[in-house]
Amino acid sequence: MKSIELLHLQQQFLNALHGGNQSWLLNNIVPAKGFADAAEVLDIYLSRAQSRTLDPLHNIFQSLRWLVGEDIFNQLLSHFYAEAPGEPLAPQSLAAEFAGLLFTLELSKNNNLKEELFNAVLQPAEATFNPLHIIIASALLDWECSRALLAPRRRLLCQEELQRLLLHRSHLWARPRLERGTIICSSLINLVALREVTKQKAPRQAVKTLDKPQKYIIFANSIQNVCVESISDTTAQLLQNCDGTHTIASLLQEGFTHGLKHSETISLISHLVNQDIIVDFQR
Amino acid sequence: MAFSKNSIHEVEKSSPICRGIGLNLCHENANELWEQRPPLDFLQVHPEHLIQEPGGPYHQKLIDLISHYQVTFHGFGLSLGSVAPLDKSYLELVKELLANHHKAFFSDHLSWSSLTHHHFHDLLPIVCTEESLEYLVERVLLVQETIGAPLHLENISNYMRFKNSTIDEISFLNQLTERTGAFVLLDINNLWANSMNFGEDPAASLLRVRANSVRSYHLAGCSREKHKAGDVWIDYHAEAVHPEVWDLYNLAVQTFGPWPTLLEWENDVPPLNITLKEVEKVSSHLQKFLN
Repeated sequence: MKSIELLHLQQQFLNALHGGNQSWLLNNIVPAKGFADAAEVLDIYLSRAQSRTLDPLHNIFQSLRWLVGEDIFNQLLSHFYAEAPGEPLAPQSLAAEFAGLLFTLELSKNNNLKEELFNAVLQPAEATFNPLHIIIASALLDWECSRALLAPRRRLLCQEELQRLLLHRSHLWARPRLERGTIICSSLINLVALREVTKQKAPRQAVKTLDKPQKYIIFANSIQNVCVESISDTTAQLLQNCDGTHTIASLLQEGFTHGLKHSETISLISHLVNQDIIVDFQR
Repeated sequence: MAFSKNSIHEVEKSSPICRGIGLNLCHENANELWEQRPPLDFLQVHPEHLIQEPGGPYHQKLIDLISHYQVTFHGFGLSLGSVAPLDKSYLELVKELLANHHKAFFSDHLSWSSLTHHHFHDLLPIVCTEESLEYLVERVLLVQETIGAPLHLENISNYMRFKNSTIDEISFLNQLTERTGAFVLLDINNLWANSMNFGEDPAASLLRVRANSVRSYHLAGCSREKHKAGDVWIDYHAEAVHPEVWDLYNLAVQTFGPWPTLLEWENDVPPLNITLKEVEKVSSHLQKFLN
């Protein structure tokens, strides 16, 4: 069965939460006696729902907060809340929707917010970057760090055991894998520097940009810290193939095309095991 | 009806659930609990945390602590009073958890907190009418059928009621548990705060709860806030239990029995030794009753 009364109450609350008419609620609420009227208590419930939904985003989007400053970040959150298609239970899903919103920001009719947001991004005088690209890069960095941290762990063997497997006579047929949630990406923003200034809560400053794209890896290490590291193009290419389908034999061949001797590729794989980047050799 | 000491044996026989005094697990106390592993009769865990954080440092500690302590599972996202369909995958998770922890029970709130894919992260009061009661009966029966166990329903704190409610909250809870076989997780602090906020007698309210429906308790601190027309007691779980709430707890234990009692401290969480002192207080209150 359905409850028409509960349906009506819930629709009215949702409507009020997104700026709609409150008259039905105001006429039907009996406030606790410390409140002056229904409006006072309703406002508390509505504010609490909004702040509890958005609170986790403060923690997830630390680089973006640093980049645009607290006030603009809060404005952005309010804009997101008004536009959001829903409020999922899991903060990580909400964070994905928030990061998604930034991609459509250029189409937004909220010109004031766009102007304030873009002006908030500090750049070197000679920089010609579209500020939105820097905003999106930092939001994605935050989202990917959070995703790497919260992904279920794949690692079953410690580094020493993985190194032993690398020496095994059938090691060529092992298929290396990365930890779940690991991301390999390229950026024109120095993500390592951006992560560092955010972690240190450094005063806001111009973001370090690069002349050509740099490859990065974002992963959670064995002590559950998220690491952002720059890597060479060759290492990135090799790691892209560490998805449990390519054998070490095929990685050796891949390395060969990048000018690496077999021993150098094995040495690189061994190094990546020690760095907590390769965490499994699937058999 | 008073709960006599002789009845304790009956309680033990009738209930396979974990007993004694427990503490809630939250992000703020996870590190200390994980490192110190203090003696506790049980730990209360939110199943939602397993969904929201499938990996990471908190998840790892949660998994370790679940295997170390007896546990109970306390939901905040079931949204029983919502008109949206129940989340079957969530209930399947609860069923699996209960299957792996034989002494655990599952509790959630008599409230609503979502509408389809909109989650409000708050426990909102329901309109209490014959119609909504019929609806809630159906929902609770469906939950119990899916998880294969009785649900423990917690009374929420609320700061508003509705003019079109035709049944008071305690009668609503009594009828709901009577018709579904669900139990009551009696939050003593919520009952006290609601009574204070709506100008009612807390003891009289407590004595109206159907005696054989209560199977567990929550104790927590609430904060006094100044508002336009006076003070409001907010169920913030950020301080020690108030003396009046301890008195009400004593009355509850005498009336309903010494059921498992959880000390909740979730905001402004102090060092673990402070919360453990509150846990000891629960123990001494129970001991007084047993003596």
